[in-house]
Parts: sequence; C-alpha cells; structure tokens
Amino acid sequence: MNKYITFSLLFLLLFQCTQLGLAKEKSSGSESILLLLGTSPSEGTPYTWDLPAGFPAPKVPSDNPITVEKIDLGRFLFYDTRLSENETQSCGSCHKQENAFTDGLTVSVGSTGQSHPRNAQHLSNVAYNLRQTWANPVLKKLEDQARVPMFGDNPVELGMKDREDLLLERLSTDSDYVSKFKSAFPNDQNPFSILNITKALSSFQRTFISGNSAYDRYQAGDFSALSPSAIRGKNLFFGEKAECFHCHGGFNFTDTVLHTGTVFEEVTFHNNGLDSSRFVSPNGGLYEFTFKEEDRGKFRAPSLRNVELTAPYMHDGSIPDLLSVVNHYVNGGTGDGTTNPYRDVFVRSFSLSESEKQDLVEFLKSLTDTEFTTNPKFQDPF
Amino acid sequence: MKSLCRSVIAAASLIFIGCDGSSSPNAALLALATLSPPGIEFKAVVGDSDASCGGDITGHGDSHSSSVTIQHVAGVMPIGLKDLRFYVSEFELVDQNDNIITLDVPNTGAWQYGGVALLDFENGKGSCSGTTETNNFVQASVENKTYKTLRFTLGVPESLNHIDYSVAPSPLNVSGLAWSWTMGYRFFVGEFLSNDAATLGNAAVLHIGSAGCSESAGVYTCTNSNRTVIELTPTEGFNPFTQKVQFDLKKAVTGWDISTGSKSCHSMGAMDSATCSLVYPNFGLDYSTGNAGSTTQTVFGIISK
Repeated sequence: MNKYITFSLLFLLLFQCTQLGLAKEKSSGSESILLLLGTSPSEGTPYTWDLPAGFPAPKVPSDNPITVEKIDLGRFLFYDTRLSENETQSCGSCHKQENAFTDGLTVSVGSTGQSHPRNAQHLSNVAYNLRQTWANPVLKKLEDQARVPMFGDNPVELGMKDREDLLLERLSTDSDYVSKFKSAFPNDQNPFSILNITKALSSFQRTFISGNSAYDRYQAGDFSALSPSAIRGKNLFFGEKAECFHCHGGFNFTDTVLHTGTVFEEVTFHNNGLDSSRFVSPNGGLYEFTFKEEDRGKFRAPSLRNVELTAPYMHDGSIPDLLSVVNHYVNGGTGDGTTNPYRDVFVRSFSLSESEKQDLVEFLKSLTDTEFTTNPKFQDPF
Repeated sequence: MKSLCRSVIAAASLIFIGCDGSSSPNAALLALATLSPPGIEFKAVVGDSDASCGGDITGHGDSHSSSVTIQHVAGVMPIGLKDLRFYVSEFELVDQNDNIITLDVPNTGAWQYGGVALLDFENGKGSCSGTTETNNFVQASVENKTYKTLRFTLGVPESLNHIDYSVAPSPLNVSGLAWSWTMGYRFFVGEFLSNDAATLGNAAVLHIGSAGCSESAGVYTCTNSNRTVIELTPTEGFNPFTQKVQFDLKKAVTGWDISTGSKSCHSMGAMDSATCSLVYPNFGLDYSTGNAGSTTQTVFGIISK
C-alpha cells in the first residue's frame, strides 16, 4: 500500500511538474508504477486459446491480459443479478447462451422495464469485433462497452448509474468474490473497482469462441456434414448471384474483424435497404455520430455465426425469420429502402427461386454451433 | 479505490502547487492556512424557488388563473428534482482595465481536477438520483474587488473529455456524469419530474455533452462541441466576495412543456433535434452546430450573496 502511494505520488509529481501529456496520465495506474520499477509480476495464469482451425488469435488489449482467473471471475459477474440496481437482471438476462447470447426478443427490456431501441446482439466470437454494438464507431473495446449497460440511462439497462459504491459494496462483502477478485487482480491492493469488473467481464466474453458448426466440419473435410441443399446454399452465399459474402465474409462471416495479424483496421457500416421508417430517433445508426445524412441507417454487419439462433433480425428486430431476411435481400430492400441512394451497392434486387431461398436458409442454419451453446464453461455458475 | 485515488491526488496536488512556477510556495501555504478559500460561489434555483431535492418545488410557475401560455417547467405544477449537476471550466475574470485574468482552479481531490469543477445540487434524497454529496463552490484564487466580467465554460475541455472515467481523478470519475456511449462526459445534467396529480411522472431530462464524436488512432474529434461559454457582465460589475452566480433550471428548460408529456434531450447527434433545439438557445447554443447561437444565454446570472 505504502509503496503504491509513494510511486503514485512520484509519478503524479513528475506528471504535474513536467506537464506530460494525457496519454501518460491515462496509464498512471499500477502498470506505470511497475514500469517504473522495471518489474512485471504475473497477473495470474495466462489463458491458452483453443481455437478452431482457421481462426486467428484474438487481439487482447495490452492493459488487460487474459487469464484463467479473470475469466472465472467474469463468468460469475456476467450472470450476477447484483450488477443491476434492483437485482433483477444480469448481463446474461439479455445474452442467453442457448440463443448464442442474444435474448430472442425484438428489442431488449432493461431492469426497470424500459425497452431498448435495439435488438440485443449475439456474442459469438465477440473477441474479434473491431467495433462493439450495432452502430457506435467509438466503442472499440469490450471493456468500454461493458460500462454502457451498467451505467447508461438512455435507455436504462442495469441501472447502476451513480451506484458504483453500492455495486462494489455488494461484491466486496461476498467472501467468494473477495478471493476471486484477489486471484484475478493479484497486483492490486484493492481489486474491487469498476475497471476490474469490466476487465473480468471482457475476459470471459473473449472466450466465447464459436467455430464447430456443420459448416466448419464440412470445411475441415467432413463432406457429409452439409446436406445437398446447404451446399447449394453455400454456393449461392459465396457466389456472384447472392453475393452475401461481401458483407458477411471470412471465418467470422462479417466484414470487420480484429486479430493479432490485423495491421489496417477497416471499419465499415452499411445501409442494407430497410425502410427509412426504421432509421428514426433513436435508431439513426451511424448518422447519430457523424451527422451525415448518407450515414442514416448504416449499421455494422453482424457475424452470421449461429444466426439460426439469433432471431429476430436487424438492429430493431424487425425481420422475424431467416426466410424473411433472404426475401428482404432478394427484393433489394424493404419499402422505400429499395430506392435509398445510400443503401449498400450490394443490396439490389436479384432473382432467386423459392427452392434457392430455402437452400440459402439451410446454409445459414449450418452455421449453428451447438457445442458453443451448450459448453458448460459458458454456463450460469449460480 | 476512489478514496485512495482522492487522497493520492490531493497529496500530489499539494506538491504540485510548490513546484509549479506560477504559484509561489508562500501562496500555497497561505491557501492551506485559509479555512474558507476564495473562489466563485454558485446557487441553483427554479424560478423563485431553490432547486432542492427531497420535496416538491413550487412557486416557480406563472399564475394558474392567467391566460399565459404554459411552458418552461409546465407552469404551476409542483416538480421534484431528479438531478442537477454540471462541469464548469476555463474561468476568466476581466478587470476594470480590461486585463484578462485566467483563474487557477487547483486540484482539490474531490470537486476539482485539471481546471474543471463539478457543481452538484442534488443530494440523492427524495426523487434525486445521484449521491449525497453536494458542491456549490469553485475554489480559485480571486481578489476582493469588482471585476467587469466573469467568463467560464459549461463543460469539460476536449483535452479531458475522452479520458477513462473509471480511473480518472475525482470529479471526472462520477458515473452519473460519464457518458460511456460517446466515450466522453455529460457537461450538464438537469432532470425533474412532475408531481402534479394530472401529469404525475411526466419528466424533463436534459443532458448536454459533445456529439458527433469519432476516433482515429486514439484521437477523438467531435463535430458538435456543445460547450457554451458563459459571459456575465453585470452593469454593477462582479465581486466574487459579495456576489455569486445563479443558475436557473426554469430558464434552462424554457420552451418545454411537460404538461402534455415527457421531454428529453440527450445531445444524441441529430436524433433529438425536435426537443434539444427548443432549449439549446437558452444556453446560448445552436443545436445544429453545437457552437454559439444567435441568442445570448439566459440560464446564468449574477446575484448578491
């Protein structure tokens, strides 16, 4: 404790007197002090990724190395209703494992009953997200995103705004958490902090790797894993007729991905031809941040992993099932979305027979990974 | 963690005074020895009534029997305060010789950091939603004399607006003022609800912060800063020892009528324009640009202590 304060003082003194930039101040926590000391004690047991074939290593923020202890703590926090002010909801309330961590609702409902304007996103392979949520260009890290449901009030989700002390008191008086927090953050004199809660939650979520679907087994050489219909659908999906792969390509079936090999971070948002009535407040999409009319209705193309389990679809949950989604794209959009000058160039009407539509649906269903949705490591520990 | 952080910052800021070339050690000792340090006092009202938590605020409206159009806080209805907090920064005084004096707003470990002060008029009681602590004072080095002008910014400067609030020094670590969604702060939070039987629960929620923010390589750019510069030049001048700054929530929401339904403005880009554009001019802001508008602010004024 004394050492911590001494070095904090020393660091802050240096900062204050020499007018160092804010970047320095932002890292004025224990790590900088350790940096000054020239030591770097272990933060716990490093987590070993068990990645499916073809999956690159996720990029983990340098200030939150992933450890077994943080993942364990994060799992408890993720399912703990004490993270909501009225103790009715946890992260898991809107992110259910059997639904690939979405909730099956058109839009989610917060702990005080307030409806969210958006459909809860699934969390399959969330470690690879370049941006979090549907259309927020500034929410990059899971650690930052975790604060939105906890402390946001527009809408209220967990309702913990101004209740950090209550939250920390609830957790720090629980003896199980005392040992879990201590194990997860062994270098912290007092490991109970909002930052550490977000670090643990993020570590747990980064382990949500889904890559053992029928499609993956087919790719690995088990040609019996896909039905003839799904194979026809796969060829449509990746072919020049349906062209779904432009926005939903790669191992994670999306067009923005972050991993250790990522050098150039390309961030894209798309208008997928929904009716403009879908883009009114508070669902403006990227427009909310850029003020550009052409960004109205632009959203992130979500990963299609486990898409069969994540209905209803779109940012507002306005499309109920996969066949309706296919019909939306075959039609080149919905309502006045078909003539929206800002819709993505790949959203244009094309011809598909009813059986071909069914083939596409069969292919999308082949992305379902039941090992992911039943993995005990992800289950509610309470 | 918060209390540890506070004590460290407090201790460090004492040393800071000693090593900063702009303040002499004697001044630092003098400041420490003074029990009630000089500064700028604030007061918050709703029309003729104090803006306070824990009960009805009445007497702020126009007469029920008059034919005056009901607006602002819905006229005569009793309201309950929910929240009233805001950040102020970049204080300047202009003396009688037109010299501009930039005020030194020291780090205090609680209410002030980096030249930013948090003014907090809610105490968590009754319908108020924040914390028990309150603050109506900006500690700063001011002289007992009459100045021409007082100037300050309602908001957190851009250089501090995107720091990580969960580890930031107090008062930049208050979750009720942090705005996770934009990776920034709410500069102003004012909320109340109707306690009138006919309109029970109708609410007014006004949150102002920078909007249109993007980030590239760790650098944030916001198209709409939404920082209003408050300039107060009373004809009789301003003496911080005998006068204080008054904020009027009634004037802040003039243009809103919650007798017909709740109103909210969250500075969410252009998404809230219908409600925000009605009240931004009260702060001297143009909602579409986030810059100074064509009208002068009406929410702050100077009164006697």
